[in-house]
Amino acid sequence: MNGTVSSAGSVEALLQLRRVEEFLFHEARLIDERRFEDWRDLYTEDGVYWVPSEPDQDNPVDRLSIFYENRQLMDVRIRQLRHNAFWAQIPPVRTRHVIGNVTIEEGGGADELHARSSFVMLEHRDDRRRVFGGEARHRLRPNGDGFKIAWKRVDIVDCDGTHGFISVPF
Amino acid sequence: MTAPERSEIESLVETGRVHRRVYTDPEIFALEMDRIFGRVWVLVGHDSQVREPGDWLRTSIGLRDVVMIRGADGEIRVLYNRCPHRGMTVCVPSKGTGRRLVCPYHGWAFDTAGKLLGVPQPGGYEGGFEIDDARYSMAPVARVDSYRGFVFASLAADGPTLGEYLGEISDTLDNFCDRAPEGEVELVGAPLRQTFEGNWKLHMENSVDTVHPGFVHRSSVEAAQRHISDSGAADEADQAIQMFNANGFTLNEWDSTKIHGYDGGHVFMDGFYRGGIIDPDRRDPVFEEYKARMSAAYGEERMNRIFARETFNNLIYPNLSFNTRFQQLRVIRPVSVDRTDIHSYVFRLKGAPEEMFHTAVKFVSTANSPASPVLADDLAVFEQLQIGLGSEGVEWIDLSRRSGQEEPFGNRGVRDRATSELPMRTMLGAWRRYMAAA
Repeated sequence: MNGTVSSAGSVEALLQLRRVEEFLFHEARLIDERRFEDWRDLYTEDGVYWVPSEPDQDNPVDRLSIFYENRQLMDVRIRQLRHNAFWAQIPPVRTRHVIGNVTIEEGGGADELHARSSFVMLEHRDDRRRVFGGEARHRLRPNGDGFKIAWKRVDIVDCDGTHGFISVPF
Repeated sequence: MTAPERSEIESLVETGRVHRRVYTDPEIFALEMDRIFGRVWVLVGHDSQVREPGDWLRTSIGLRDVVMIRGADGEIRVLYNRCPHRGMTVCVPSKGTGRRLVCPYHGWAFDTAGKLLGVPQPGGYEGGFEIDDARYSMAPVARVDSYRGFVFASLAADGPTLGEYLGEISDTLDNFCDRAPEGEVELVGAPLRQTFEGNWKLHMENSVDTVHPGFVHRSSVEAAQRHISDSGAADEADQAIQMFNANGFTLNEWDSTKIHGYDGGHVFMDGFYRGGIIDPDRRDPVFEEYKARMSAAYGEERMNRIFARETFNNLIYPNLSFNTRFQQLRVIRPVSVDRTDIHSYVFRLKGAPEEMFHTAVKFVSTANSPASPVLADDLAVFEQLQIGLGSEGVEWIDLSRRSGQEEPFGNRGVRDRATSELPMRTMLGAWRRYMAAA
């Protein structure tokens, strides 16, 4: 890296990276601000949110997962998060994400872009603090000025660890 | 620490009430690890986890770290995971395979039966090093036996056989295996692991408490109901969403279901909902194929008998909860008096269409993961229960609902309506007997 952007292609690549970053920051903020319906609506109709339970897990079909949700399950989860008798959320959890190390990966195409990022999520509920962190992979489809999420995989570093209950997506 | 006297233990469990110390006293917990987990038959794993000679799995019996290993002779053994030399953990990873187990500390090497093969420095021992001395082998636990592939161990040399211990609850394990066209189930992959700050017995009792879902799971029930009513037919919904919805049974509906207890502390509940994807009469190509294979394996009549034996949660005392229809098993692992881990496993029905396994994986993930909408509520309630039980001043809890109204069942069991507190009394009755035995 020489610190300058010399070709038009690189400028376009930087702009694209910036657009992806803005989108990932926006997605995280929707969760942190508990705008869960808006978060769900970032997904395509056939969108999938997946958090494996084993490192290097290659599929959610024949191995167990922490989250493996389509829009239907996301919808039920969000309705539960809005329910006034959801005991695991009394008091509700507060979260804050930090997103970084965003890169655009090979393997996408004209209609799908593959992004990779790291995150840390602080969580507080009922005088207990937790930290989750790991890597997110997004398959993003262009949508107007932004994107829709077709697929998101989150590998938390302690995916095969022992956890207390988790109610809010990473 | 001196163990509580027998009379003191017995005084903690009365017919319809229990003292809160049973859930909160560290001395009681230590005694449970000795008199219950240190004596009865406890599941250590499934034989499909150690398929080949030399395969081993690090597991536990109560708080004791053990290794389940398939020997070169094909036999499954359970060894204390402790080097006889200086006490080092011999098997450090969660699983492995090899012809030898080598202690990381000083290199003592053992064969797959735990027998010492050699030490790097045999010199320096008065009278020479006795390699064949049993003191120098990895100690086996007192007894190991298996039932339809489920491997149990007991730390007590004497006592009932595994068959005697299981008694009639073994029918539920039979039914689990019989639902596979090949008559065997197979444990696949690693478990989901959860933890909660509460006593292990709270989870066992809750698994067969049919009054709690309408209250504890109200948020997931209503979320599922609203989702289904807004989006269309219930049968189209995801299997997990159907299950959330089914927790919304009325107490009258639960009352039409039966719950059964055996004097060994084992409990099972009749199946109570049949809709959608787990409906035995459903017509979809995968299920049709499954029925065809079952019929070919067992004949129509036996197949129908297998399907007719419908149970929901089945508990094997002290710490197993499994569900044949969902192909899942939970091991409740006590950590301390107020901390418990839950390991949830999914099984493949051997010979069934692979799509059924995929459905089970999806369901077990949604119903058992740390992020499960249903389990989150249970765990949140267990933690508040533990806080409530920890407060001095009100010393007893009540478990008397429908006490005395049980009817005999089988040779050594009783049964009643599912809303009875019979299962808690069954488990605590067994608890009192084990704990009071010197």
